[in-house]
Amino acid sequence: MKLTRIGAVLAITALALGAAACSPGDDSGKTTLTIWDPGLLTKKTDDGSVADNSFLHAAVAEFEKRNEDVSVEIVTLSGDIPKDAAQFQAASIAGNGPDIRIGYTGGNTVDYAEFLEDLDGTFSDETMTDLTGWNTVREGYDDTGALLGLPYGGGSYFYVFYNKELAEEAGLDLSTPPATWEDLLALGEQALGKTDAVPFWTPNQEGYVGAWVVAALVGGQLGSTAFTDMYNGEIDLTDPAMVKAYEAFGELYALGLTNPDAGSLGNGEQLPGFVQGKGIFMVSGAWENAALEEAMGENAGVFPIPMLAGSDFPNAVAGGPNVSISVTNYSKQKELAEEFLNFLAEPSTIDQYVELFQVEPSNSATADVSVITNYYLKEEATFVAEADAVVYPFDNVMPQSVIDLFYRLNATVFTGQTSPEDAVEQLQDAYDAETVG
Amino acid sequence: MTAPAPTSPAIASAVAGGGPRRRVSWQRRERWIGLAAVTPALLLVLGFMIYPVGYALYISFHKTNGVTFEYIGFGNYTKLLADPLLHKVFGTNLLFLIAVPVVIFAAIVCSVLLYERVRGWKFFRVLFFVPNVLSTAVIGLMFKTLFSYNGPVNAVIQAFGGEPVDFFAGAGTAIFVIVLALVWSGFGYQSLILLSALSSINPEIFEAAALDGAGWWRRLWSVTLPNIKRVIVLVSILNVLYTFTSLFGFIFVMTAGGPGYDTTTLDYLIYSLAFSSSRLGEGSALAVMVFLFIGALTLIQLRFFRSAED
Repeated sequence: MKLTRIGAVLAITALALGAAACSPGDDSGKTTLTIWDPGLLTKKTDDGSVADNSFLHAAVAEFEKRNEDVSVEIVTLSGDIPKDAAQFQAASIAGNGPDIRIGYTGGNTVDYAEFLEDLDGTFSDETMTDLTGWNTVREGYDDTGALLGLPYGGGSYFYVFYNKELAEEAGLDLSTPPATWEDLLALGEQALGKTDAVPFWTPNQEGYVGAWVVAALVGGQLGSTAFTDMYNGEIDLTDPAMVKAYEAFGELYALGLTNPDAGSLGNGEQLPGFVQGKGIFMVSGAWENAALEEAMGENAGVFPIPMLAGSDFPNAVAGGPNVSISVTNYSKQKELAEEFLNFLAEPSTIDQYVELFQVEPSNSATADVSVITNYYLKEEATFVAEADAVVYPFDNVMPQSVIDLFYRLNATVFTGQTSPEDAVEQLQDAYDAETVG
Repeated sequence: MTAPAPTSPAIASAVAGGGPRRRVSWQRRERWIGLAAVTPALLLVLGFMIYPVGYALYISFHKTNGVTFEYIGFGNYTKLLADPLLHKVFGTNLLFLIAVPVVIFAAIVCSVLLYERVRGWKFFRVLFFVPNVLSTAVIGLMFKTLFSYNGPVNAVIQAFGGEPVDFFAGAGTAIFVIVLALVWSGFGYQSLILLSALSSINPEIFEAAALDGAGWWRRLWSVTLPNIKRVIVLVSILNVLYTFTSLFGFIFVMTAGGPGYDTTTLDYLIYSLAFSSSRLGEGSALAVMVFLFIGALTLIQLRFFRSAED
């Protein structure tokens, strides 16, 4: 009996020690802040280690230096938008999500208002005046809605990149970018079979390429407020502009201008394939700038996605503020998290982000533009400046479930498995279910 | 009415209280020990099964995102039943049932060969079980790589002069690959279950059949299969259940339910509804519906097999 008691005491001690070892508390007594990032502000090398230019890691190091009793833990998520969104929602329902959540502006933030702290009053008047993009992270996208995040960066826009050598080999003259989408397709047809590369390198399994093309082509037809008007119910999602955009996008595949496995190749293959010379053109966005320059120098060119012939806004560009940084309302370190956000909102910190990433300009009025050194980012700045409409895209505006469906439909409309008319009907039904039902 | 069984004098005296007290106290103690022994399991079942199932049922009657709750009665159920997406997904799940007879057939063949101790049977017994020690995610990734556009399977097709197939871009081919993964991952375990059933057959039955001149096939159909029929029924039921409840891992890794919703199954849809959007109530309602459906399906299968046996 005595032995049994001794055994029980030992077992309980071992369990207690084990539990203590597994507990989230910091041995050094530091306060821990946890940040979830889907790869928007962090960068990793091919072997999975933190890259030298990982902005968030640099910012965290500086913040920890300023606050010696604070330890910040960065958790990098998969980067798959629907999966990361699902993970955040599940963790938030359980109340064990992060203190700070980095996501996309628009629906990806606004849709999770129930779990996010209203940040009105967190930032000084000076910061509120200095930075742009606040309404992209406010409920209802207007000044009166709750402020659910800190918009970070001046915005990423969608472009067509081309491989200069391959374009020349195919006999394409791109001294002037194609004026219309139809002209772009004609260039693709002209290039077909002239090189080993396909005209358009298009990994569209997740439907992201479709999201960028449809955003641009609808924006060209309906203008800057195309999708916010849809979100507010002023324009139906079945609008003919959506059908036309889908039809035009589907032509890329139907005409055989893309890689044959476009429907099953994931977005992770986008830049590597383009850099390896698998396609002459690639529809993507400014987030590729830094990696593209590193891999190809100035051997690629860039121009905005051209609009459909006859569009009311022939020089529209699609995109906008992309990164949103929020504090969860169940965080036990809200004050500290808000302090970290204020640190990130300092113009010099945003300059550091621009300098390290080179994917978008600063959204601060007092930014130091000399930190922009990237060849592509400089080119892109002129396109945004000359645009007659800047369209905030569908997948930034809509509720998350509609965005998820949108991606799925982009993939199947592209390969001809869903008709454009059917796709927009489904989107309208999903929107109605989310907003009415 | 049956007459009460005669009671032995010893028991009768104990019941009457005439037996030694020690025996009664031991019986009471034994009851407490038994109760104490089942308590942890009972707590686990209550905590991890009955409470979550009950809570899911509660949620299913609400419009909720997990934070705010609005009671809507059977609203989630009626909405789901009228949703064409659910009909499509249900149809997809039925398609995956193709895997059940294939798994069972493969398992029977393998178990019989193992039972007959074909050359290298010990090696094969281990080999067949290997997929069971791999996680679904690993198996999913393996098949995704094998059947990718530039993968080994397409390399073989091209080597024989064929055109490469984009397996994951179309519903039919994507489902084919998932079914293949399902069969590969499942048949080994089922083989071992059937093998244990085969091992319990009296060898003299086989010897008698052989003496009567029954050949291999005759013995298989007339002796082996009838003797393991009950286990085959069990394996069938388990596989049908598995097809409706455990495809999530494969779908998540291999296709994410795509292209479109072409490979979305009921369990994947539950996850999508509950966590990708703010429709946790609908997700729970669907989970309850799948639970009831599987229960009903199991009863139907049992009844069917029983009547076939009769």
